[in-house]
Amino acid sequence: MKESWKLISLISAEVSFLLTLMTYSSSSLSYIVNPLFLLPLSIVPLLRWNKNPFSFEFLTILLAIYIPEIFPSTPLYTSFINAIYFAGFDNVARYIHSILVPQPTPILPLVIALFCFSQMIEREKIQYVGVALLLSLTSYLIYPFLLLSLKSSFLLAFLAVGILAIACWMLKLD
Amino acid sequence: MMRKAGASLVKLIVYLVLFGLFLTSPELIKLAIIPAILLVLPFGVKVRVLKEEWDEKTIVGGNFSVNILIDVVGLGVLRIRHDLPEFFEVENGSNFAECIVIGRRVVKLKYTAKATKRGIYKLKDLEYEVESLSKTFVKRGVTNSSVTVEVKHRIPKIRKIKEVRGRAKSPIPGIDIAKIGVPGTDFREIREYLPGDSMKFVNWKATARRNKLMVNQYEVEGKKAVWIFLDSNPYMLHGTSVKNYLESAIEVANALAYYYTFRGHKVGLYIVGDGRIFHPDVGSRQFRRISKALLEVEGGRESFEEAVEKCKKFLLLYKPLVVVITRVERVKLDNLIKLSKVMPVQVISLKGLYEESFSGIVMEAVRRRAVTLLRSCGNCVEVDVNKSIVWW
Repeated sequence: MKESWKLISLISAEVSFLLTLMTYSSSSLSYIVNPLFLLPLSIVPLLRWNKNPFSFEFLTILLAIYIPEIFPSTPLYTSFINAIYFAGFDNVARYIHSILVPQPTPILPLVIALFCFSQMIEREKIQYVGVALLLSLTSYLIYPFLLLSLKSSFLLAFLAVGILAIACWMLKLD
Repeated sequence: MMRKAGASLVKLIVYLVLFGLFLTSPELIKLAIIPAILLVLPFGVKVRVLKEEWDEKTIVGGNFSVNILIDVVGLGVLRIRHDLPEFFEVENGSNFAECIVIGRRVVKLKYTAKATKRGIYKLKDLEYEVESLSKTFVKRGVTNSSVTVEVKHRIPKIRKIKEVRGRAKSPIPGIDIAKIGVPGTDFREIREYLPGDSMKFVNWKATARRNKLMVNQYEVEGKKAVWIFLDSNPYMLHGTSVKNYLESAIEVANALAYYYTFRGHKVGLYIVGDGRIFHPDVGSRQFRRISKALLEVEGGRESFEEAVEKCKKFLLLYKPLVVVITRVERVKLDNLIKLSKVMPVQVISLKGLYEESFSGIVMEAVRRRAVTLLRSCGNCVEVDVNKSIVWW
């Protein structure tokens, strides 16, 4: 029973890997590198069984798999393509642009939430797994709303944080 | 205080932000909000003891029960424990509780513990820690508890102390009378006046006859006094912290004090090493006083000669039966023999904690020799600390 948190962490790592693999399979890059070649990566959590199976290293691997979907929507990618284009390699630029198409990544927040869950249950009793899962899923669900509200009321939030900081400082003085 | 999960979440936030900055990806930076939500979850509790019930007194080897009701208000995972001194063992129940608190909750700590060493123990305050539900932060605190337990030695039932053969004229105080005390009505003798004598005892006829102040002396009421010397020198601590010569000596002293005080004798005590002295007195109050003092004995260094010197004035005044509880192989026998020539002395020699090694055999031989020597010129009784005290 003491090791049950590891099993749960392993399951969440494998679920995250499966979700990432499914996302990768639907990307255009999967035509170049077959998703099947990524399957051996699923044993990485097993190799980390002695510590936490869902490690930072494994999360980095998952994020690396997501890069083809995240990177095309960044300014860095756009400037990179532009640089190649203006350097005279317009065909190469067009080819890269046709492969790396910006795509939404709705699964990535879930992977992050699962990673948070696995960090929270580390060396904890099985009774608290439910609470940790509930909190992780709640944060995953409220995250877009929070983002939306932050976007709309950025200035308001900035003002609120400022007032809060002054209040904290005054309380500390007392 | 941040916990490992909290540190991991902070690491994840930094990781996502840096990775996002490197790739100039706002999406990755936004993802840092998920662990941030878990980090800022509020937590904290207010702990208050509602009710405390416990057995205030117990005996060595006996059980006592503690029942504490705690009112907890707040949010988080609460762990609360009632630390016990090292000589206590939890027998039933638990002195630790863990639960999730959302709002208000009453936590119950109910346990039965066994005390293995005498003393007056003020149990520690209730220590608690509350963890956020996301296991990221922890706060620790203490709430007052007033549980005090008095652990006494069991008093062995002594029916009668056998007559002891020896050189002392009257070693048994039960058949002897006190040297000082309240004068009774039985006339003893006429003697010369001494400063301090009451004028009502002046025999005027005898004074006129002899031409010097003479007083009547009456037999005093009460039984003979008993003076206990309890040795608490470091060599008495041989054994374990729970079972050693000192613990047995205290048990014997307690039993003797009980036996003599409840039979009307004046009982005095001197703790050799500790330096504490209890003047001879009678009654249950004196027993309680001695019994309480015995609970607090810690030990120290002092020779038997020094101890006798300190108590000299009482010994000469009361001429009591002197009971010495010690390890005879570790004391200078000359002093005991010298004392036994002046007043009745009973030596209680403790034995039984030597190992089967060469040094153990040698020490046992030394002890036997000392016992033989003491028996030839006084009284000596052996008590095996491994056995429950069956009186001699």
